[in-house]
Amino acid sequence: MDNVIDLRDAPDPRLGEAIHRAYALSVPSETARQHLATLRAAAAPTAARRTQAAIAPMRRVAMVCAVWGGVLAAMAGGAVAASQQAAPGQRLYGVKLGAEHAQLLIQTDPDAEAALLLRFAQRRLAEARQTGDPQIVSDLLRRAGAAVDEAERMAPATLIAEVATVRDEIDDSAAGLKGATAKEVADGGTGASTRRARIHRGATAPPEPFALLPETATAQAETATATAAIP
Amino acid sequence: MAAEEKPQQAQPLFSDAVVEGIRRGDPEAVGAVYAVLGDRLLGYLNARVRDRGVAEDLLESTFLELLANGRSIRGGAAAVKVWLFRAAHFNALDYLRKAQRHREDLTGEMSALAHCDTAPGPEELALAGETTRVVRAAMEQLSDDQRLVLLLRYVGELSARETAVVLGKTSGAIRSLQHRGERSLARILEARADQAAPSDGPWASQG
Repeated sequence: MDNVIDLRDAPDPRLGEAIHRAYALSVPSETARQHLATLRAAAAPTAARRTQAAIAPMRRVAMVCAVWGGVLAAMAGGAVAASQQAAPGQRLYGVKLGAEHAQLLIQTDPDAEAALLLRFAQRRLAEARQTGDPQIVSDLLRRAGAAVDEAERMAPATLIAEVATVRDEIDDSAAGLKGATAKEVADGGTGASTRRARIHRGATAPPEPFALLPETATAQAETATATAAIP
Repeated sequence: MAAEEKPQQAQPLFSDAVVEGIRRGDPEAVGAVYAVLGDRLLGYLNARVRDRGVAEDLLESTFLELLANGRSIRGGAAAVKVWLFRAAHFNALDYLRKAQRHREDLTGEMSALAHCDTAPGPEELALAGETTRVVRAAMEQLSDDQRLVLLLRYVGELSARETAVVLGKTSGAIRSLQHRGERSLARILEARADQAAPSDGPWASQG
């Protein structure tokens, strides 16, 4: 074995060289030309958006004022404060989500926005643990997952571990829900539960925001009843 | 080559003017960075997704993200490099998660077929040398974290600190993963060389 490199104790610099050689690639010139052309083409709309963005601050301020105006108006009745404890299905839950959205809207620091998104994801997860309805749990986990995805993209290094932890918790909850739903179907669930299982497995299009929340479902049921009552 | 931690390079990869251009969303500045880092990023992406076409698409997406979001980067050329590798890392991760979900939707034989798709194709195998094949096969036996660290250090040519930022770990954890990964890789290659005749083993032949 005279010719064999003994790398067991002290890694040889040739090990790094071998890894480099095994994976190193060059971008073909034609591919590079296409990529650069795409970048130039994409830059024009980006520049246009930036011009709009220069005008947009006033619009943004107006929008934020409108949102906060609504929020502050609601605060007069203590709705926002009360909504912080609202659970999915309760009337004030929508106010809670609106207040969170407003907080994200006024955030200008990406790191702070990432932290906020992560906090909201943890809230959805906590809410999911407190509700027994698989349909609502599925919707909450979907929202939590979307918030974590967004947070992961902008998170500073200090938040990465927390992002991973929250994602693991979401995955665990989703796995638990999947098992529970499968059992429900196997046990000969009702039409409604089977439909929920189908939604959960993604056989239908993802629900619109708020579509699966009980207050919306109740309103829809009331509308359907009222419509049916019209002669 | 990033085998040892080197002191900060005196010469940055690209000038401050290029970095400023990236913050302004200048496609020429992004193109200048592409010229410097495109190969390394492609090597890293290809190693992650094991599909040259997908890797090239992800490379393009990564630079489009730089064009759109470069203004948020704080720091100089090194910060741009780390930002790009972090974006590429997450783009690869997103792709792999989607591919995994797709595989989970398939059943029976279809699933087996999809699994085969991740292996190198005949063309790639034909192009790859024997040593490349042996090293890649050995890398597959490492843990995911060890493999990622070695790829970022040797293919991406990032420092331990830069690798730590990309992967969201501490520099100490990166050094530890690198050390353990290198030792494992060396053991695997050594075992492979032991099985082969001294003169015809690809790893042995490098001695």
